[in-house]
Amino acid sequence: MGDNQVEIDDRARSPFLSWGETALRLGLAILFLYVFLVGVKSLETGIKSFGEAFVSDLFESVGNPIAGLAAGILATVLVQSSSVTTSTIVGLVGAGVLPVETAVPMIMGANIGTTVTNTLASLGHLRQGAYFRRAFAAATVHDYFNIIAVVLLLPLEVATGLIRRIATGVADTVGGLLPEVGTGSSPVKSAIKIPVERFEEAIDSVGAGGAMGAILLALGIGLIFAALWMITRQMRIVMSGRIENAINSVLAKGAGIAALVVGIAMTVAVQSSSITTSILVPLVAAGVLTLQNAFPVTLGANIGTTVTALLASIAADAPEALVIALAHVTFNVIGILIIYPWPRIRAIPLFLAEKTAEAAVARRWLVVIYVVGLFVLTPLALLLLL
Amino acid sequence: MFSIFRDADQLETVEKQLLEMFGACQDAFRLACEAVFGEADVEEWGNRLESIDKDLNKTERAIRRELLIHGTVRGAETDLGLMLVYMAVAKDIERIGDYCKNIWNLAQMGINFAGADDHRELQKHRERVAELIELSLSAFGNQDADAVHELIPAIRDDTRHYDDHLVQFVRSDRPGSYAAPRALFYRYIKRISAHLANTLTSVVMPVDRLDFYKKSKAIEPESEDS
Repeated sequence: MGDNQVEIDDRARSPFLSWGETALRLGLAILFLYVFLVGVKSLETGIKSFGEAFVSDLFESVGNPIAGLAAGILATVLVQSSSVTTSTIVGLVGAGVLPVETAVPMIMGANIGTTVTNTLASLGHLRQGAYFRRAFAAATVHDYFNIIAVVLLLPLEVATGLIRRIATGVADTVGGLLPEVGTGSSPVKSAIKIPVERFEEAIDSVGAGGAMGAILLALGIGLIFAALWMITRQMRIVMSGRIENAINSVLAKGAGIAALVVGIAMTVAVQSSSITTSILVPLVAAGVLTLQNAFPVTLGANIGTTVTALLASIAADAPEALVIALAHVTFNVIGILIIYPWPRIRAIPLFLAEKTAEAAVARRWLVVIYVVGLFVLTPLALLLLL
Repeated sequence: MFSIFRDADQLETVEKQLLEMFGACQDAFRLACEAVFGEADVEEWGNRLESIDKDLNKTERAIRRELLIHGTVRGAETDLGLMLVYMAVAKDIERIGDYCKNIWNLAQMGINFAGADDHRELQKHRERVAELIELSLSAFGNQDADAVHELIPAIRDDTRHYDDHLVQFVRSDRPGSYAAPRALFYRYIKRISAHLANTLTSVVMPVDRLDFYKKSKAIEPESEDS
C-alpha cells in the first residue's frame, strides 16, 4: 500500500447520525415503548369492559386449535406484523378473556402469517428468473420452517400441553424475580395505568361511557400499531450501521450459531422479524448470501420477534400474559432445536423452498396461488369450516 | 453508553477501502515500472504485483458486497448516488491495477527500457504518471474540486500526447521488437491516466455524467460561507 494517509473529505459522505440524533432517536424509541405498553393496557381494559359473556362468545370460534391457528395467520397477514398480533394476544390473555391453551395456536399462526411480508418482498424480483428463484427460496424457507414447526408442535401441544407447561414453569420463576413482568405491582405498571385511567375518565366525561370497551379497544390497537411502527423506524435508523456489520459477519462466518445470534440481535434491535427477513431476501437474490447462510438468520428472527410479546406482558395484570409471551419463545426455541441442529431435517425446509422457487420460476402463476392460498384462502377456509 | 448504538458508518469503510486501493495502485505502478526499466528482479516484483492485484480484486468485490448490504439495510435512506459513484470508482481503480500488471508483463516478455535510446522520454512519462496517481489520490481523498478541475484537463492533454506516441510506434518502420513494446507502454499509461480522470469526475460531476467531464456541467462547489 502507498504511504498516503489521505482520508475522504466529510462532504462526500451521507449525513450519518450524530451523537445527539442517536440519543434523540433512542429517547423516542423508549417513549414509544411506553406508548406501546399503554396501548396493551388500553386493549386489556377495553376488552374487560365488554363483559365476560360477550367476550367468551367472541372467542368461542377460535376455541378449536386449528381455527386459532388460522385466526393467528389471518390477523397477522392483515396487519403485516406478528408483533401487533402477539401483543394483542398478550393483551387478551392478560385481560383473562382468552385462555392460554387457545392463544398458543394463535401465536403459532402469527409465526406463519408474518412470513407473508418477505414473500411479498421477493416478488420485486419477479422479472429476473435467476434472481427471483433465489429471492423466492429465501422467502419461502421461512414459511416452510414455520409450517413444519407447527405441524410437529401443534398436535404435541394439543395432546400434552408441553409448550404451555414449560412457559408456565419459566413464568413462575421469572415472575418471582421480576415484578415488572409478573403479577405484582411495580412503578412501570403504575405508570402505564395512569394514562389509561385518564382515557377512561375522558371517555366518561364526553358521555361515551357506553362505548367504553370499543373505544379503549380501538385506541389500544391503534397505539400498539403506531408505537411499534415508530419504535421500529427509530431503531432501524439508529441500528442500521450495526446491522450492516452484523450481515457482513454472517457473510464472513457463514451459517451456524453466529448467524442465528445475528438474527436474534437484529430483530430485537428493530423489533420486527419482517425487517430482518426482508433484508435477507435481496441479499440472497443478488447471490452474496447463500440460502443456507440466510436460513439461521431467519430462525434467529423467529426468536428475536418474541421480545415484543415479552415486553407487552409487562403491561398486563394477569400472570397468564407472561405465560403466553413465554409460550411464543418456547415454541420457537423448540422448533429450532427440532429442525436446525440435524442436517437431514434442516435440509427439508431448504429443499422445499428451492423446489417451490424452481416451480415458481417455471410457472409464475403458481406464486399467486402460493401466496393467496397459504396466507388467505387456507386459513379463511379453516376458520369458516371449524 | 451510546457506543453500541453508534452508526458504524459502512460508507466510511468503503471510502477507506477505496483509498487503500488507490495506494495499492501507486505501489503497483512503481513495481511494474521498476521491472520494465530494469531496476528490479522481474520475477520477485511479479509476485508482489500478483499479490497486490489479488488484493485489489478482493477489495473491489468486498466493496460491491458492502454497498449492496448498505443499500438493502438503509432502504429509502440510502444515498444511492454515492453508492453508484463508489461502485464505479472501485472499478476504475481496479482497472488501473490491471494496466500496471500489463506493464510488468512487458518486462516478463524480456523488455527492458534501461539504456534505450528513448529512455529519457519514457522515464519522463513514467514520472508524470506516478505524479498523477499521487495528485489524483490527494484530490479524490480531499474531495478537492479545484484540484480536479486542474487535473482532468492536464490528464486529457497527457493522454492525447500518449496517443500520438502510440500512433507513431504503430506506424513506425522500426522492428516490431522495438515499436510494439513502446506502443503497448503508451497505450497502458494512457489507459491508467484515463481511469484516473474517471475517478476524479466522481468529485465534480453529477452521477449521470460520471466519466464524462465537462466543466460547464460540473456540480457547483459549495462556497465556504454558504
